[in-house]
Amino acid sequence: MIDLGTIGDLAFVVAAYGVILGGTGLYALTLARRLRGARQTRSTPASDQPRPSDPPIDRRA
Amino acid sequence: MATRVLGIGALVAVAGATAFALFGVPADLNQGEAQRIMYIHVASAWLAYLSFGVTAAASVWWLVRRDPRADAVALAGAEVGVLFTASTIWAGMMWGRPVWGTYWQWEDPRLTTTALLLALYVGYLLIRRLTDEPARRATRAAVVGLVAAIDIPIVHFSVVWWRGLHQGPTFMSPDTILNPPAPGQFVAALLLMLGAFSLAWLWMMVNRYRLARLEWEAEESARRGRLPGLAAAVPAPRP
Repeated sequence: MIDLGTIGDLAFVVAAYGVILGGTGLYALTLARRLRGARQTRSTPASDQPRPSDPPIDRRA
Repeated sequence: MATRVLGIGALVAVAGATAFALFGVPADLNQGEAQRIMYIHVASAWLAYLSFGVTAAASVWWLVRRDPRADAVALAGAEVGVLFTASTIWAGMMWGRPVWGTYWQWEDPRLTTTALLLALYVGYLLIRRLTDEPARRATRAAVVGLVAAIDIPIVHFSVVWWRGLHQGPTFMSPDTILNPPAPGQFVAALLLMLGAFSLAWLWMMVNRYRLARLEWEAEESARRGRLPGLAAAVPAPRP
């Protein structure tokens, strides 16, 4: 039987912090990636944007 | 460049404040190690209030001026506020279990009004997805943002107005910094956490604002046909 400690001990508190800091860090990373993607889209010339008439990309090839 | 420095500073500050809160200050005499959750719980709660306050102020700004920057600020506040409200609820549950003997109690006014606050701003974000027309979306969101803000003082004063499991307000007590009064080390740990989280909050707000501005620009450009790929994806505005 694995001893997981007692509710309220330091390991429990560290885990509680870990969820918040991990979630906040994940949000920050996602935000940074979304912002980078939006900037790249903005700097891409209109002629390079995908058109509705373009054939779909066959990713199996 | 300044935002990058802010981000690195926030990261270092949050790491330092967390290390101090977990290992630097002594455990509470009555609550033991569980009391350490208070530092992150209170800091998250205050930044959630601040975020939604910013959303409310920006909503008024939009309704008066119709400035796209106002809508971007409002969106940033709501999204970041949802993150900090969820963190507050999580930390409160983790603190409540060892101290109260339960993770959650629906009869408690503070807990229930905070859950309502989270639901209101998740609803705010969902309502923004109902239309692709930026101005119409901003107006609808501003109205919802203002209505939802009514819950902020209700959450804060719920512990004064009604009886429940939750203690009284930690801040804004008339005669002490912390309520109940606490040793200087505890106050320092809380203020350090609040400062560190505020830096992280500022970084997230600035970047979410920038992203919202770029998204708005892309939508507007697509409508004018400058980005043909996006123009096909975004429907034309209704007459």
